[in-house]
Parts: sequence; C-alpha cells; structure tokens
Amino acid sequence: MKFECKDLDRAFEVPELMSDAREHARDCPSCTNDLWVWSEISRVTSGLREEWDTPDLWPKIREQIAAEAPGSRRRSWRLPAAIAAALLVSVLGAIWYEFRPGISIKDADFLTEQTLKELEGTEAAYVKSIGKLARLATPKLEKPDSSLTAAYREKLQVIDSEIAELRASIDRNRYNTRLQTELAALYRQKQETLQEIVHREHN
Amino acid sequence: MNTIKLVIAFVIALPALGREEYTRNFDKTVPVASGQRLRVVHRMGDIFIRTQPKGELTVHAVIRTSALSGNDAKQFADRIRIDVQPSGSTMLVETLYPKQEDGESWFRNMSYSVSYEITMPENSPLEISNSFGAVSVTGLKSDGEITTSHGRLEFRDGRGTQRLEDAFAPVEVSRNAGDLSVSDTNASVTIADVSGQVRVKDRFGKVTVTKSGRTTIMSGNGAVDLSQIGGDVHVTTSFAPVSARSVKGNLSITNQNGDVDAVGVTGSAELSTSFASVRFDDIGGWVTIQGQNSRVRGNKAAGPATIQNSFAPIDLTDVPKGVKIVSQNSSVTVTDVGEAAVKTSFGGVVLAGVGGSVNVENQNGSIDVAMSRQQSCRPISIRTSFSSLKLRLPENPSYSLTAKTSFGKIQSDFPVMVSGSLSTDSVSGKIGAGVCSLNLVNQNGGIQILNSGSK
Repeated sequence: MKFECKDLDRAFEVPELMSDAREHARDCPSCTNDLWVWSEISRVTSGLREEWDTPDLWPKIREQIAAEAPGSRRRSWRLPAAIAAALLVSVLGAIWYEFRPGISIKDADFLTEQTLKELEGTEAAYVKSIGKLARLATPKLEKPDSSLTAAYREKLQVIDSEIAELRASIDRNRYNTRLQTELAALYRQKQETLQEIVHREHN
Repeated sequence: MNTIKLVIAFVIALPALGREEYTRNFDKTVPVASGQRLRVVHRMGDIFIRTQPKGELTVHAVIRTSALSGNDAKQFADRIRIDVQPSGSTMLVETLYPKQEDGESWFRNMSYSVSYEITMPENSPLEISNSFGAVSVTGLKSDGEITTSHGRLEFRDGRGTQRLEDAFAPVEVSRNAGDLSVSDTNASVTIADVSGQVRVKDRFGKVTVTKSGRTTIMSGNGAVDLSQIGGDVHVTTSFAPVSARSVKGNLSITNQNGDVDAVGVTGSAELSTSFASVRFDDIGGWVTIQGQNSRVRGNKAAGPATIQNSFAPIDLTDVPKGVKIVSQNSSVTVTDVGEAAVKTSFGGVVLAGVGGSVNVENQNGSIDVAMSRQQSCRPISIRTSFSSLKLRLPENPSYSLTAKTSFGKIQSDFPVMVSGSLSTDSVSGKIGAGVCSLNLVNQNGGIQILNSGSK
C-alpha cells in the first residue's frame, strides 16, 4: 500500500498502519507535524486520567429520581440501572470524543471545557512536582560557579521565561491546543533538566 | 420511560456541551508589482507559502474559533480581520485579532487560530513575523526574513539571502542558492544544500549542516554535526559533541566538555575542548589542539601539529612536518613523525619513526625514541627522571654524545669514542663521525642507546 496524507486519519485508528505513516512522514513535513502533535497530545492526555471520589453523587441522583417518580417500586431499580448505564456510556463517550482515533489534528485546534479543566488540574500537580524537584536541585545550582552549573542555570532561565510568556498568551487563548501542548512540552523540558541536575548531584 | 431517555440523552451530550467551534474562510487575490516586498504579520497559526512566476498574491486563510456558544464563536471569528493591502512599498498581510472591550467578559472563554496558505510571486522579497505557529516557505527566489516561535520553520528551494529565526521548535532548510543565517533556541537546526555562507546561532539544540559554503556555528549546549562544507568552518559550543567531516577550507572548533572529531579537512584545523576527547584524521594543513583532560588521537596531518593538554593520553600517527606537544600527566605516543618536541610528566613518551630533530623533556616517565633511517642525522636531546630512557638509532649513526645519569647505567649498542673521564653514570664522546649533537640526561634511571635492528 502506498501511504498518502489522506490515510493518516485511518492510521490513528489502525495501529498496524502507524509504521507506514511514520515512513511516509519522513518525507512529508505536514504529516511529520501532524504525527508529532498527535503523539504530544497522546502523551499529555495519557497523564490526565484522574479518579476521584463522588460519595454524594449517587444518593443525590437516587433522591432526585425518587422525588420525580414516586410511583411503582417495581420499576425503581430500572431507573438507577439506566442512569448508571448512561453514566458509563457518557464516560466512555467522553473518552472516545476527546481522544477518538480518527480525529485529524486540524480538527483538534481547540480543547473542550472538560479537557481544559482536567489539563489545568494536571498542570497544577505537575508544577507542584517540578517545585519539589527544583528544591532538590537548588543546592547544586547554588554551588560556586562551574561552567556546567552556569549552563543549567541559563537553560532553566530560558525555560522559565518562556513558560511565563506562554502562560500570558494562554490567558487570552485558553482552549488553543497548540499553546497548551507547547506549555506541556516546556514543563517536560524543565522537569528533565531538573532531573539531570539532581541525577548529577547524586552521582 | 421518557425520563430515562432524557437522562441518557443528557449524559451522552455532556462532553459536547460547553464549547462550540466556528470556521470561516478568507480568500483574496491581489496583483503585486515585480520585486515588491511581501510582509506577513501573524500569530496563533501556521503559514504555508509557495511561489509562482506571475505577479499575483493569493491569500487563503482559515479562521477557527471556539467559544461557549456558537454565536460567540461566530461573532469572534467575524471580528478577526485579515488585511491584505499595500503599505508603502510593501504588500502587507496582517492578522488583526479583536481586542476585549468593556463589558465583553465572554472574551475570557474565547480561543482562536488562523492558518494561512499563500501563493506569492517568486521574485518578491519576503518578511514573515509569526509566533505560535509553523512556517513553511517553498520556492522563494528573493531575500527572506522569517521569524516564528513554537512552530516548525521549513524553508526549501530558495535563492537569495535568507534570515530565519525560531524558538522552541526546529528549523529545517534544504536547498538555497545564497547566504543563510539561522537563529534558534531549545530546538534543532538542520541545513542541507546551501551554496552560500551559513551562520547558525543556537542554544540547547543540535545543529546539522550538510553541503554548504563557509559555515559559522555559535551554539551553546548543543551538538554540532557538519559534513561536506565548501569553505572555512568556525564552531563554538559546549557540553555536546562536535563532528566535522569533509571540509574544504580551514576548521576551527572551540568546545567545552564535549568531544571534537575532525575528518577530511583540506586546510588547517584548530581544535579545543576540555574533559572530552579530540580526534583528527586527514588534515591538509597544520593542526593545533588545546585540550584539558582530553584524550587526543590523530592520524595524518600534512602540516605540523601543536598540542597542549593535561591528564590524558596523546596518540598521533603520520605527522611528517613534526609535532610540538606540551602536556602534564599525560602519556605521549607518536608514530611516523618529522621533528618532535615533547614536554610532559608522569606518563611515558614513545616516539617511533622519527625523521627530524628530537627534544623530549619528561618527569617521572619513561622515554622510548626510535629514529627512522635517514640520509643525515638530526640533533637529539632527551631528558627524564625516575624512569628508563631508551634511544633507538639506525645503522651507521653519527652523533656527538653527552650522556649523564644518577643511580643508573649507561649502555650503548654502538661503539663510543670516549673523551674525558670514563664512568658508568656519565659519558662524553663520539658515535661514528659525531656530526649531530646527542644529549641524554636521566636521574635515578638508566640510559640505553640501542641499534634499531637489535631487540
């Protein structure tokens, strides 16, 4: 099969086609970009799955259903079951909608409300984790000047300054996928740089 | 049952609730005077440019917005303005995003992007100012000045002087007839087939250049890989390896904490690094190496080699114009060399196939020097301490010998016509006709003058 740009969407659905897609992308900048963005989004979103307790949800739904349908006790089990099934479908639907394999990157210029909310939650956790790493790296960075320390300091300054600039842009364009992806990439760079520093410290 | 359906419909619709998107296309074609400059001012989206021979500019833009309601998305998209109009002698394409006015709190929830596909006259100079978007330019036959950030920058099949700038995204250039300068931060730069001069400034990203004219790379913390360069090369970087292959000109590499590898240079090579290795092979001119804790290996230099180093071995072959080596705590091995001047300490010195004069000073390290067969002799001076000193001479040597040691013996395979007093630790005299001077000094070690043919 001769792989073409139009086959890219299908390749996202059929993993077996990904090797052909990558081969094709070597000589196709447009597909290279699409593949890269796709992998970045996949990487970022894979970390977004979060579970939380919702102890009040079910009683409230039940309460409401009971209030709305005071009739037959025989049918009462069917409502919660249907709602549970519907909730399950909605969760699966949401996951499918956000990360559906056939989606073209050009169609995913913007995040949804839900994805943004989750992304911002994850970002906060990420920033907190980076803060911990930074505290570990600080003693190394504060050591008397060596060219390596100076290089690391410079790199962190460059990344921090860019994060600040990017955040300012995101404030005015919060749902823009590219901006959020770039921000995630910068956080990853910062994390990797700090890990390198800490690793060197331990060695 | 209706309630169930409603609930199901509601929860299924949940993910889609909250955001609406809107897309609007913009198309405009205008005539452009021959050689008229095109300026594109944009942000938040990609720009794809191709060229054509005729004097016509075609702009196709796709405006995309996302908002809490379809109405808001459309309203915002309608307020995004794209200007395509002359501005002085320039044709300007500009994206103007709406600014928030009092009472428009819904702006907070807007998101937007605009992407361009532009077809322009190939002979128009081009200026692009973009951010948060990729830029691709193909077939520009005039000067270009392109700036973007957070988006890949690609330039192909150009002619003219090109200035490209990016940050946090890679730059890729293939085929340009003319000079090129590229600046990037935190991302790679890849350049191929540029017939003019190339200048690259990058930080924290790898630079790769293949087939170019004179090339200058100023990098920080990024690897540099060069090949088939048709002019002088200057490279500065740190904490990353540098490799230069097939350079038609002189090569200068200044590195710190990164390996240096130079192969196939027609001119001279000036190489420096620290705490990393230096290697050269097939250099057409002189070689200068400044190392610190650097393993140095070299083969074949048509000119003389000058090396300064410390705390790491030096190993050279085929340097007929001679070597000058100053090092500390380093062993030195040189094979097939012209004249040799070596100063080191705490490491052995082995010189083999020496065809010129020899001057070796060592401390606490052995010395083994083998002279090659030559038509006439060359002066030899060797000094060390606390170790052995061996000099291997071919048949029929002709030296005026002064040898001195302490707590060691002096031995010679060749007959010595001794003059003055005779002792086991000091001797003066002639070997053969005594044409060239031969001074051998050791402390706490023996001296051996050996026939090259003997074991």
